[in-house]
Amino acid sequence: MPEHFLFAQFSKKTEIRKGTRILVIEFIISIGLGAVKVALAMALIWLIAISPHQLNNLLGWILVLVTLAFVGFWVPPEEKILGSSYLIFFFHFPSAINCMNLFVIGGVFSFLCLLNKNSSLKLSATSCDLWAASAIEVGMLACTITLVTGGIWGRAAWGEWDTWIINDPRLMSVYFMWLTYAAYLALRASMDKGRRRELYCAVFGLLATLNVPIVYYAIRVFGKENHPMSLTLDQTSMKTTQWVGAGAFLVLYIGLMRLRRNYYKSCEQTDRLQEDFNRARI
Amino acid sequence: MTGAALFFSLLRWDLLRELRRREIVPNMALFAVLMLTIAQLGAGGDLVLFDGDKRIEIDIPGKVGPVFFWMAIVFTGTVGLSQSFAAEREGGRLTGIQLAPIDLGVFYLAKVAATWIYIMMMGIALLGVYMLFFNFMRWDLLPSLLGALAVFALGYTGAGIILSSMTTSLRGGGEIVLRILILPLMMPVVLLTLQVSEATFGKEVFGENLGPSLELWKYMITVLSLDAIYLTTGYLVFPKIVEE
Repeated sequence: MPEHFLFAQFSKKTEIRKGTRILVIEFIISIGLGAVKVALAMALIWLIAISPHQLNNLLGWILVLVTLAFVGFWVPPEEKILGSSYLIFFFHFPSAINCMNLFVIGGVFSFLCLLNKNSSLKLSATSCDLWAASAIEVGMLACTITLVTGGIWGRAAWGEWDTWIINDPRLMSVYFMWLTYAAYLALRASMDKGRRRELYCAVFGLLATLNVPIVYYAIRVFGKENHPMSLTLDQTSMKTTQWVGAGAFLVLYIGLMRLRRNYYKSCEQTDRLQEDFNRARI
Repeated sequence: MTGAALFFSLLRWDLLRELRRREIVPNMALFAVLMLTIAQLGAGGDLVLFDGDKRIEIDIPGKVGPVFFWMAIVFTGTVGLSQSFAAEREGGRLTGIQLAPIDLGVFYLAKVAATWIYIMMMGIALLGVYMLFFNFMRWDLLPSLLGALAVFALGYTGAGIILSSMTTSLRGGGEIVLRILILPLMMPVVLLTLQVSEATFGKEVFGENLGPSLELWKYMITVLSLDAIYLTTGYLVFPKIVEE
């Protein structure tokens, strides 16, 4: 990282002051760039989300099949260093970046749920809570796929399931995110439905999402980049498949998120009908 | 009553209650000492290996001692956090807090300050035992270690009090749920705290695996930023949690 070389040049007296300024500036720049990327992803997600959900799901699966076809018939079957094991990258990479997107969506909806109590937003707090839960559940699926495919790739390429967490900051940050959102799901499961569950899950969802950039930034800046990066995507077919795959999985995950949210909505409606029925019986 | 007067009044009330009842700090300290005792049984002495005639001594206490120390702080801290709302829960005073015409954000900050003091007291007691069990005699590193402990404990209590206030109303006091929630949130901070072991304990814990040892001032800035995020979030959301 650049700041290691820069810091070595400063005298002890000015080191801390200048070092802090550089650290803060770099942090702000990386957060700014991250925010721009997230905003673009949000815009894309919103465009996808306004389409009918059946079309969303169908399109998602079709794009995933297209990715599979590219992997099977277009990209080279072997890579210079990693051989044929590199093909799993076209499923590992999309899941990795989309899990972050989904967790951020979950965090945004958690924030809206907290705001909603006193505001007149179109989306109710309950609706925001269901969206947040759906996003986080599908995000957990993506995160699990990332960890599992990473392990399988590691085993195929280097003979070990994972370089293991202690050696790899990137793997560590994804694993920490997985644990944090698993705790969110545990909290949700331990509470009965109601306003309190919505509030508590929104608070923890917000805390967890605020933690994500800290995990992402701190571990990578202060750790040694040890993530196996010997893959070189030097052909057009590889780069195209990489980003087609990322888009395909994004569409698919959004479709799954909407499906999950519709399932929760149906459960709510069923419960309400059951209550009305019970009241009518009495 | 101004915010500062309210803060010190609530803090004083919490500390006086703990001074009279002596429930939280002694229990936490004892639990932490027991954890360290078990750790010391397995990792108290150097590992001696023989490579032919050559005797190789591996400093196990120096290498894993910091890990056990911070582990004891983290796990024992959950005891303090789960007890932080015990008085309010037992006496039915949670309703009183909801109805009281006070700034609940200030109430949150007072709770954080009180629990931070308990964890620091427990940490200092544990440090004494650690020095004995793991033969840690680096007096020159004590200021760095205590500084790291203070900064770590601030974020820990900041996030922990929010979660404790949520889980206190769950079935069985939400003790297990509290631990499941706080530990993943704290893992990045624990990782950074272990990475700064060279400045605090005089020994690198990770070696070359994770990267170079972290300098103490970088650690302080990063963790203080995180502490600020947790405290600000807590100040804003705590009133909503209590209202429910």
